[in-house]
Amino acid sequence: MKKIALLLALALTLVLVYCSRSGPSPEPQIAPGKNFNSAFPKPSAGLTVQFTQEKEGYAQADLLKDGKKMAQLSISDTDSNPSAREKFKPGARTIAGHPSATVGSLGTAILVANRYQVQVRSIDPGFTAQEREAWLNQFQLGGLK
Amino acid sequence: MSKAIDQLVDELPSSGMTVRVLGLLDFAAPGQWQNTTGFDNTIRYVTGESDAGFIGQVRQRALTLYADPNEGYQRAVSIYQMVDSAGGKVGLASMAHMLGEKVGILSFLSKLTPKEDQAQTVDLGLKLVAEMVAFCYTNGFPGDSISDFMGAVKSYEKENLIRLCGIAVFDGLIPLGPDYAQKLMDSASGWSVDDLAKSPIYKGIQGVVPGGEALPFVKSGLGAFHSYLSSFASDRGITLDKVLDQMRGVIDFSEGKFDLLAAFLDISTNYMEHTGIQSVSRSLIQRAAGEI
Repeated sequence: MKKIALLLALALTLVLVYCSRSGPSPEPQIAPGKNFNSAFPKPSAGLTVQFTQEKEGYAQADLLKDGKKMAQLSISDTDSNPSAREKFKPGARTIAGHPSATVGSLGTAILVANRYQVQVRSIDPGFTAQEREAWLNQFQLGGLK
Repeated sequence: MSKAIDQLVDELPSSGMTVRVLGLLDFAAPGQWQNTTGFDNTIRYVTGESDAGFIGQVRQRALTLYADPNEGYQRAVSIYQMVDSAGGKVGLASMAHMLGEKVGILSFLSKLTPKEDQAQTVDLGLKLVAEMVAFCYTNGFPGDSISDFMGAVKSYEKENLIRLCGIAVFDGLIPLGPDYAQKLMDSASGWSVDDLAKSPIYKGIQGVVPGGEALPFVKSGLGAFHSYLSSFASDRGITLDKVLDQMRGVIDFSEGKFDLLAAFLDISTNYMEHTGIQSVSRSLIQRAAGEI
């Protein structure tokens, strides 16, 4: 297994090096998705967090219960899509001290530092708005500045 | 960019040989794959939302992300397309008459060239490598560790999972037999550039395989897949008998002529491209929903 892990590490390092060299450099002001990973919630109450996507200005994970996908967690840098900020109205209800908004009927989001959108979207129909809010409170938002 | 992602998804067929044989794999991944076509349908399916305003916003953001070549989504689709176009397919027009009827391989015999084990093994290995590279272009390198990444691969589901089932069954089990994973690993360790250069898939992917030197990447990539692939079939109850039972309802083939059956599946389907477009769309739509 160690050998396999090492081989995989080599292969993926090559992927990363190659991908980072392809095309012009990304816009410098957009935060790399990897910067967001540490802000995601830690596993708790029998639910685990499985990272699924990491791009410039965006990171995403699934919230799993016994292997079943319950919700999609994401952090995005709205500098890459500023119109996303418009839904956070002045005086809106706050969650974890940040203005909140709904995204469709299954998503709840907060805007951190007037820049980072942190969103929880229900995948399982039984995952409620209250649970989305509770999991938004689980993010470690101090690093998002 | 050849086509926008909404056009690619809108043009996915709802029937035909590719859809039929993918449907046969349901026993290995029950309920995982449904052939969702049409971009707005896919947005509804992936997000669970039906509001037209929401769908319009997701659509617009997804199109913007896909149109940027630096985002990697276009590259991923082009890899899936290249893998399927490398085999010299029978034109889709000639497949049209197959809809809804049992297809006899004999009528295609002049177009079928069974591959030798070595060539088939190379194809199997290179399809797995292509899958790995396309995954990285689609999803980046999620998480902070190798275990995060392998967790993402091992939790493949839906279009991703059915495509892996397709690779294992159509390019592994049927042409190479039940010990296809071991055959692949035994063979791959001795591969040279000359061995790979004969493969049209290799010619297609060597330009997108990271690092400049394709051979080391292919070998290390397959090494990483080994343990997962070795138990893939047994974990899902995939056996040659079960697969052939399913196939008999759709394709008329001679018992024992599994190399011909594999060659027929190779030229008459584009399951990597079909499900690859669906996979890239899913990742794109999930991200768009997170960013609007």
